[in-house]
Amino acid sequence: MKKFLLAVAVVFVSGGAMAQQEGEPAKADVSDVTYVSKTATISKYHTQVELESLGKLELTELYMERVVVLSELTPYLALSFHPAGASLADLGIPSSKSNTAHMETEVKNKEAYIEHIRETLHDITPYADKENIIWCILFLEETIHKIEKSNGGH
Amino acid sequence: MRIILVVYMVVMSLCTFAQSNNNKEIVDDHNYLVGHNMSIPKYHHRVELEDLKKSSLTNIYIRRVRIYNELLPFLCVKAGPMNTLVSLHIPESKQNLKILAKHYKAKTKRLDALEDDLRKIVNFSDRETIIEGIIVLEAAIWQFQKFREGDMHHKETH
Repeated sequence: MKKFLLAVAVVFVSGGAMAQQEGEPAKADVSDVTYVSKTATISKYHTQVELESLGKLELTELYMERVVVLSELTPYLALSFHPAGASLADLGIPSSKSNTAHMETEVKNKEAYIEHIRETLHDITPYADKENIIWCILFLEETIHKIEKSNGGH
Repeated sequence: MRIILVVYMVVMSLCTFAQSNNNKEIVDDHNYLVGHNMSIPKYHHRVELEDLKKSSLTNIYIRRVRIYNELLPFLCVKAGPMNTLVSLHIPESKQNLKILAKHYKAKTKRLDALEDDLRKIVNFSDRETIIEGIIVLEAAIWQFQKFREGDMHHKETH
């Protein structure tokens, strides 16, 4: 009986190990992480009149969101004009283990930096004039629109 | 023999002078929201870029990404290269000096690592997309500069 139980245990353990081995390469090849997050886009473009009716706090929030989106998009324009949510394969980069690892490190750096930018802008934006914040929002929205409508030279 | 000694001393003092000048530049950047050399010496036309090799395009592109991302967050206070807090009408309070120091550290860490990573991956792209990237970034950096100089119109440069 003991021998039988031992044999069953050995089969289970080795089966488990094999399943894990099979699972690992698939996980490494297809990472859920992307250089540019899927959310790096804006839901609404504004007109000057709309922005002029908003308070400085709301304008600061809109400005920060546009800065974050462009901080995400602009580094990767050379690879694609639609980098938001694009996988390594979408960007034309081989999905090797080392490329995936580089990307994951880079994404962690990016997230820490964006967090830092939000904190810093909460302190710095109040020193900006309202009309300058409005100009910036309009211009940054124009750039985002230009990127999203472009076909990247093709 | 004396001449040799004099020449040696002159050369050494020149070296020290050059080095201290370099150090001064590095230290100075701690006082600015945007680094002292974050401006474009030359804007390009598409035709000029089309003549360049991929390695040159990659270098130009990575430099534009750096400049754009140094300028972007502080566009609202019109921060350009070498603007101090005082020149931007931001008080040099303890809190603000802390923000400035923290930003220098965070920005350098992030943008240095980003540059290294871009050097690895931009190679996988084609020349046309890199050129298009340079054009969009240069047009935006040009407009940032015009805005800092007081021009509130949006103009297309290319």
